[in-house]
Amino acid sequence: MNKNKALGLIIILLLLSTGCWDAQDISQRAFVNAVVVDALDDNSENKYKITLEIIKPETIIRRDTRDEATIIHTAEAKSIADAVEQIQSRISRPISFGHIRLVLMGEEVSRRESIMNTLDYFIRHPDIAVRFRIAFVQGAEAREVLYAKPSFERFMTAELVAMTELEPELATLRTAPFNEFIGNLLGNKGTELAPRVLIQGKDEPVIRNGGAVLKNWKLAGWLSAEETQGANWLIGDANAVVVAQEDNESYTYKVDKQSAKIIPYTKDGELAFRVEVKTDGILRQKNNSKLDVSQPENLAKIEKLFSRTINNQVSTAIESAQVNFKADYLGFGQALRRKDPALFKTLNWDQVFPTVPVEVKVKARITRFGMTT
Amino acid sequence: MKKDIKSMIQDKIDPRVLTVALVMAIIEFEILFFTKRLVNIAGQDAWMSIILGGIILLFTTYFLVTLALRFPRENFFQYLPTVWGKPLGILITLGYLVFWFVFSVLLLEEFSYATKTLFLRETPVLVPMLALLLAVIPIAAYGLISVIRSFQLLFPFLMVLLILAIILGLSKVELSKFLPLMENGPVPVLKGAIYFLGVPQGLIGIILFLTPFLSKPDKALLPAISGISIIICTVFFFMATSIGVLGVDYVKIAVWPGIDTLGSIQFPGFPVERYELWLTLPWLIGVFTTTTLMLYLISNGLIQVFNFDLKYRKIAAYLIAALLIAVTYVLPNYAYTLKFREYITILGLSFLHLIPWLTLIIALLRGKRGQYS
Repeated sequence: MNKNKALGLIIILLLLSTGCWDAQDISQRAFVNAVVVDALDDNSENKYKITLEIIKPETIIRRDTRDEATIIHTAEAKSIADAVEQIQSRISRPISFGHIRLVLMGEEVSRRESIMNTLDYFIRHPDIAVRFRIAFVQGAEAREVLYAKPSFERFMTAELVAMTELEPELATLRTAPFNEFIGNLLGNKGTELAPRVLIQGKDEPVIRNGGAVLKNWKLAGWLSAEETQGANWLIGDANAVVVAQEDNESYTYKVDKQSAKIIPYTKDGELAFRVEVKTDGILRQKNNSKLDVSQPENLAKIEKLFSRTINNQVSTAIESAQVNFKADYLGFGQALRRKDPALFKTLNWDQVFPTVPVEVKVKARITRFGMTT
Repeated sequence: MKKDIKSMIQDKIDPRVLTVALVMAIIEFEILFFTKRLVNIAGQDAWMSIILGGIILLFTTYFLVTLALRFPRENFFQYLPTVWGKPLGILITLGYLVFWFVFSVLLLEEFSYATKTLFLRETPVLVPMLALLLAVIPIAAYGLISVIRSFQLLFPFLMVLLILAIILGLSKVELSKFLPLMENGPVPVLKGAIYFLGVPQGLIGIILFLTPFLSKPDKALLPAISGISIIICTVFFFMATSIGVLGVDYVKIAVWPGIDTLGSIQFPGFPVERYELWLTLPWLIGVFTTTTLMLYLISNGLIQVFNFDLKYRKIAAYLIAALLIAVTYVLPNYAYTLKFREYITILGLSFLHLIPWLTLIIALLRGKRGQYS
């Protein structure tokens, strides 16, 4: 054998043998689908109760089986890595985070300490791509979500992830892929509006709406579905359903196009903001109304009513951020920073935001009114 | 030290190949995390730094081609003593060799770190390093022509995947993440532009060493400018997708923003995921081609400086490769690698720009030119 052939053989052997150390059959791994982080009480030696939901691939492939599609393991530990090691000692396949879809944060742990303590594990781990979703669970241990009854999917995480695909159609929940969430959280120095999950009961479906307000890197409180819709006029892009009422009459409007601008300006030397919201949409329903919507003046009247209603929603959302939470998760600070970075630097924004005057202007247009007048 | 390389090797290269050669020589591991450093300096204005730095880089390319055409049948190390005088010429040559050696060590260390972190956790780092170098050595030892031919073969695989990665990233870019413009004034943009000038380490190696092998050296300018333009565009769009998808604050904490950018992309309902793996092949090709060129330059440079016969180039390549691996073990951890890489980039300003410019100016002042210029 000449030298070149020998060298070629060595290279091939070396290249092939690199896989031996790391050889792992894909069917012999325990793929984690969801990680749930709950708190243990302060007196406990361990800080966290970590739950992993692990997929059983054979039950996913064989859809006719009645076996559980996932296995759920919980460990009490000082860190997530510590918990993973404990859980690893209970199962025969190596745990893999390559296909993680969801991270659920419990209320207690989110209120107790910086969310970055937990997130650090996920953004540092080389197996975890930042495409998973994060949600905060209100009023219960977050792990209970995994035991709730899914409506269509085989297990609850799949149901929650499938719900995220409906997000463009639902304005009552906060939508944010993880990369957007973490980008906003870092950019706003620990303030952000995150998705919320509510538990109804063990065999009941969970509700995915509303929002979790984070301030100073910790959970500060919750927004209801209605409040979240108000906030979403400024930070979301989902198409809202608006119900406007006047006297005994009510009208329902489905937005199919919206835009919002936050415009900082100075008035008598004082900083102020103007919020301009524009919507286009379809009139979906009218109740107790005899108005003929084929008449432009009638349509204009209803448009004004919708504008007032949306204005109220936006104003309430701003008031909630300024008064209740004193936290700018609506993007006013970023709007000022983009327009006048020099001024923004001079301000202590956390102190300025709660008292800054905001004027709201809404122009709602009805572009279609359906099949009847 | 004088060796007429052209008389030794009959194969000649079409000047248009210079475009491919430059792209392959310059794109390497840096593409995965170069954005992070530039963003640390210039924030969301990093794209301006690339445009500004890119313009200066085009001028440098023009000067380099002008210098190469002044000595069309000699490589850079051959005419350095003619221009600078023998002692200084040899000193500068040795400086380049040390510079490229350190750069190659860092490149190899980055390669082994990424391999260990992302793919081969259990495999000893020596194995992938050996596999890489054993594949690189024969090509480097056969001379620049074989190096360039290997570049031509690999070019489509690199560019097609990089372009696909950029298109994927651009689909998720948010323009608001680039605002405000010049938040901290023009100084960070200028600093970023200067930093960018130190990035394309393979620049000199191609233009000043490949010219003697070109069939028509006088036609080298346009392909060289095209090659640099492709690199500027690639780096620009890669950086723009990282900032536009992840945001400045996340880019700053990410070790490899390129991977996180593609890792955050998903199309709900679409079965294909883990787009970050698309970067694996371009990254491996980039490291492979740049290491090949560096190994050729160092081994060939040593042969020239010490006036050895060309037949010892293969032995020199093996010895240098062994030394490269040995030195990677001296670096205590990856933090040092990152730090040294910064120093090398800053030092690159002298080796990539200052010395060639001065060489051209001195050659003009002293009326030095090559035999067939």
